[in-house]
Amino acid sequence: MAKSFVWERDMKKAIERSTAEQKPILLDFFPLAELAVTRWVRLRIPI
Amino acid sequence: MGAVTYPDLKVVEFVNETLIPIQLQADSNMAEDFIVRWTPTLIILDTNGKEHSRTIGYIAPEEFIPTMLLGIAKMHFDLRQFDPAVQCLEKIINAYPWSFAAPEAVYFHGVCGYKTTHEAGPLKKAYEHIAKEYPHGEWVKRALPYRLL
Repeated sequence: MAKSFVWERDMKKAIERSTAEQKPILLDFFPLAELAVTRWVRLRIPI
Repeated sequence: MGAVTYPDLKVVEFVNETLIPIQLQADSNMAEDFIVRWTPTLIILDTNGKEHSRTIGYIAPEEFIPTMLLGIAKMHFDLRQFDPAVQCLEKIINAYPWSFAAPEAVYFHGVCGYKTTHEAGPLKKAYEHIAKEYPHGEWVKRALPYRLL
């Protein structure tokens, strides 16, 4: 079993793969900045 | 998501088998095109890149698969592909009945039943199922008119 999956970074390529493999696309947006919320916990949030 | 949910082995297996994952920066042009203002934002697109569902906020590993299945079911529903939509919905209902996605899955299962048979029975059955199993959620209220069928 694979231990991770590989994110595509290009929409055109994702659509090509989606069409070829007949699978929906999961589009995720990752955050840009880190905010220290407490001494122990950091959350990544968008700017 | 990247620290807890995406490394989960069941999530990895599900994504590899079911989806084409793409991750873009929240300040990219694509984020503007999709009007993304907060993360995590997860969007299900069809093979043409058209959006069919989105969720905003953290999703725990145990909720990830039913949440994605619901998004995929909505994609099939939008495309009038009712058989694969029902397959996704029944997987949620049977395998993840405790999940946040389950009551909505029961609702759409009833709607798909109506769409394919043009009989009112599936809608009433959906209401009764939701009222029994999920009496305090929003979907029992959304299905409320079907009690009269």
